[in-house]
Amino acid sequence: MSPLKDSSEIQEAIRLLREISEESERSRTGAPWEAQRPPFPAARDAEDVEIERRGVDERHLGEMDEVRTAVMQLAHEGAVLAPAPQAPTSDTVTSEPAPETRQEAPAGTPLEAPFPAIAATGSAVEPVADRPAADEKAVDESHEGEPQPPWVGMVEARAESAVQSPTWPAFEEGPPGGTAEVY
Amino acid sequence: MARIITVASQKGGVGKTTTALNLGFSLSRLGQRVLVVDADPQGGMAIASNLSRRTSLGLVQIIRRTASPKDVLAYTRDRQMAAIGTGLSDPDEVVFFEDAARSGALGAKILVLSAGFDYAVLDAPAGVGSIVQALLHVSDGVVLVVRCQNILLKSLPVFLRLVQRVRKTRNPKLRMDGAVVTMFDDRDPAEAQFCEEFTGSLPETVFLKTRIRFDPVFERASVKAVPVAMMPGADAAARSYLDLAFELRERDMRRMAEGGTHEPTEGLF
Repeated sequence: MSPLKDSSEIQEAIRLLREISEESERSRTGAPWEAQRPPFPAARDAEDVEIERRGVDERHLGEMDEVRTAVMQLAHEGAVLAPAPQAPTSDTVTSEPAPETRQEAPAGTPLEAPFPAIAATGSAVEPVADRPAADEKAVDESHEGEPQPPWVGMVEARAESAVQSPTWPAFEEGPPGGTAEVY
Repeated sequence: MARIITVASQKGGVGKTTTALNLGFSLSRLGQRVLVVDADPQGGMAIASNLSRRTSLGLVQIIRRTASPKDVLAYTRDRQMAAIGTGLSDPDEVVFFEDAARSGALGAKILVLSAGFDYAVLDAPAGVGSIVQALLHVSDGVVLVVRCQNILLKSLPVFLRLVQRVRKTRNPKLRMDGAVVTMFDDRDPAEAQFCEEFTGSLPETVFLKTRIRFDPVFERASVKAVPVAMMPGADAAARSYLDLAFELRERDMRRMAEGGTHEPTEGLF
């Protein structure tokens, strides 16, 4: 008795998985999402093409310019500008983390320290301590001396050249106006 | 354009949300710019990543045009990863969200929001409802989350038929990126044997080589609302998702290198 062979549903699952996988391989056309990625100024046109290609109803795309522009701007900033945290502004001050999230984490809790792997490996990324004084907030959030997270070695070994962030990816402060709580 | 991946399964409770969050995070650690979208009305990913404390706004408000992406996208400090939730707060909005999925509005907004990212990882609700279909309509690939249990595997055909239908009718570019075994417990000989038989009966490209083993640290990471890689003592669990991200990335890079042709070329230039 084999539960695998005795179950028509599982046999059907196997058949469908095999079929879909083969169809996927047959229809592959390279990596259009990479090949067609346009430079930022041209992105909007390419998006329209992509949206059309995927058959999304254009009725829902009307008046999306504002949204689209804002997204592209955010993404562009993330891609082009230095990834170091911004200097505190009045906006970020209004959404300062709640007191409970600023407490020192007891042993055994997740780390939120700056990215120690980068500093330790002498990467070109600017060490937290060397940042300008304006980067006060990031310095405040550093947990120097805490143990390194367990996956540091993995990232170093497998993606050292790709990882460029000097900080842990704790999410940024809420939007201006303080409408959101601390992430 | 972003490569859009829907993380889906027919059944709930198989590790779909955990996979979406940790896969997205791991891809961002590999240098990719990643958008993680919680498209499940249950909002599991938003809770598991603390996004729900960051903002209550999300896709619903974008669809209604009552909020801008600046209000709803939560970026990591290094700006390599962003997340967005559903923005659902009452039952009426769930109905609106499902209507938006049926009309195409949800898919359109996801496409627009994904612009500028390398990957968009969509956390789908369980099942084959309108939201899942909307996500598949705009996706490049599906990562199927599978738990090696007899009863769970029996439900697979329904979802797989949906994938086939979407490919044939709405989105021929949709491909199976691979199935990933989650919550795998090889200390249980029966489960281990069943899993080996099931995966072994399929071509090796169907299942991703990486298996996500059961580990209590996932639960602790969920409580702390962080990706598992940020938990102390989570080496194996963190490594598994980094491996998964690496494997998917490797598959993508190989496809790019092949340039979409099945014929070998003669020389690089």
